[in-house]
Amino acid sequence: MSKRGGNGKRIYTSFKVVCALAMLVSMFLIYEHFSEGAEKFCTFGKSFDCGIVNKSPYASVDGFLYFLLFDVGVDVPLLNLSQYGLVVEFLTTNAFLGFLTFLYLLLSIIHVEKKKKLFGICVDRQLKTAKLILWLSLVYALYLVYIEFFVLKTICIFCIVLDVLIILGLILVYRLRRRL
Amino acid sequence: MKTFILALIALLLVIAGCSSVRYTQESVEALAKCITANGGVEYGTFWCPKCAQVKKNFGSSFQYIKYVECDARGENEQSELCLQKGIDKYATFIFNDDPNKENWLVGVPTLEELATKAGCPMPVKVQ
Repeated sequence: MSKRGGNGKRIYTSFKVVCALAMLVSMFLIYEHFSEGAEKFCTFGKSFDCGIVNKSPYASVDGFLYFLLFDVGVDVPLLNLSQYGLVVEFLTTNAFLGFLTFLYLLLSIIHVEKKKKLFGICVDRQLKTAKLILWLSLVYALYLVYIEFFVLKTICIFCIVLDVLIILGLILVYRLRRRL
Repeated sequence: MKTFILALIALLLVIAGCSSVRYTQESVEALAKCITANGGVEYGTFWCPKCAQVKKNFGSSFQYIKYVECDARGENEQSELCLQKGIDKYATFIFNDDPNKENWLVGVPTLEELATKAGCPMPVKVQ
C-alpha cells in the first residue's frame, strides 16, 4: 500500500517536472520568436535551425491559415495577426500558448494532488481535461512536426523536446487516472 | 474569472481594430498584377520570415507576384539566378532587372512602398 502511495507521489513529481521543463522550453521559444537572430546552440547548418522555425509564419496560431492558403492551396482569408501589434502577436504565438497550457497543467496537477478543485473543476474532471488538452497538444505538435520536416525543411530541436514532453505528460496523466 | 477573460478579449479586439491597416481585396489584387506588369520580381526563400510576411500582406493575391526561389532545396528553385543577381538578403524586390542595389526594396516593404516603386495605384484602405 505504501509502495503504491510512493509511486503515486513519484508520478505527481514527474508530472510537475515535465510541466516545469516544458514551461522553460516554451519561454526560450518565445524569446527565439522575438529575438533578432537565432541562438547558436540550437542552430547546426540548414537542417537544424530554431530561428527559422520560430520566426516562421507557422509559429503562431494563424499559421494554420497560412498553411492552408499557401501550402495546401485552399482559398482562406488570412488573419495576419502580427499586423495588430506586438501584444496580439505575443498572445497568439505557439510558444506562449504552450507556456499557458503547461502552466494550467502544473496548477491542475498540484490541485489534483491536494484533492482540491481548480476553477470550480473537480479532481476527476481535471484529469480528464488534462488528458484532452494533452491529446490536442499532441495533434497540434504532429502538425508542426510535419511543417518542420516537409515545409520548412529544418528542425527546431527545442520544439522536438517540447513534443517529447507532451508525450511524457500524456503517459503520466494516464498512469495517474489509473491510480485514482 | 469569466468576466476577466471576456474583458481581456474585448480589449484585444479594440487594440486589433485600432492598429490594423487593411486594404480591399480587389485593390491588392490589382496592385500585385500591376507590380508584375511593371517588371517587379520578388527574390526570396521558402523559409524566410520576411518573405512570409510579404506573402501575408498580399494574401491570395500573392499568386500574381513573380517570385524567384533562391534556396536550392525549394520548389522551382533558381538559386543560380539569385547568385548572379547578387541577392544576399530576403525578401528583395527588383524592378526591371535594375542592377543598382540602392533601387531594390529589401525586407518587408509596405504595399504603399511597392506601389510607389512600381508606379502603380495605391491600394485602397478598408473604411
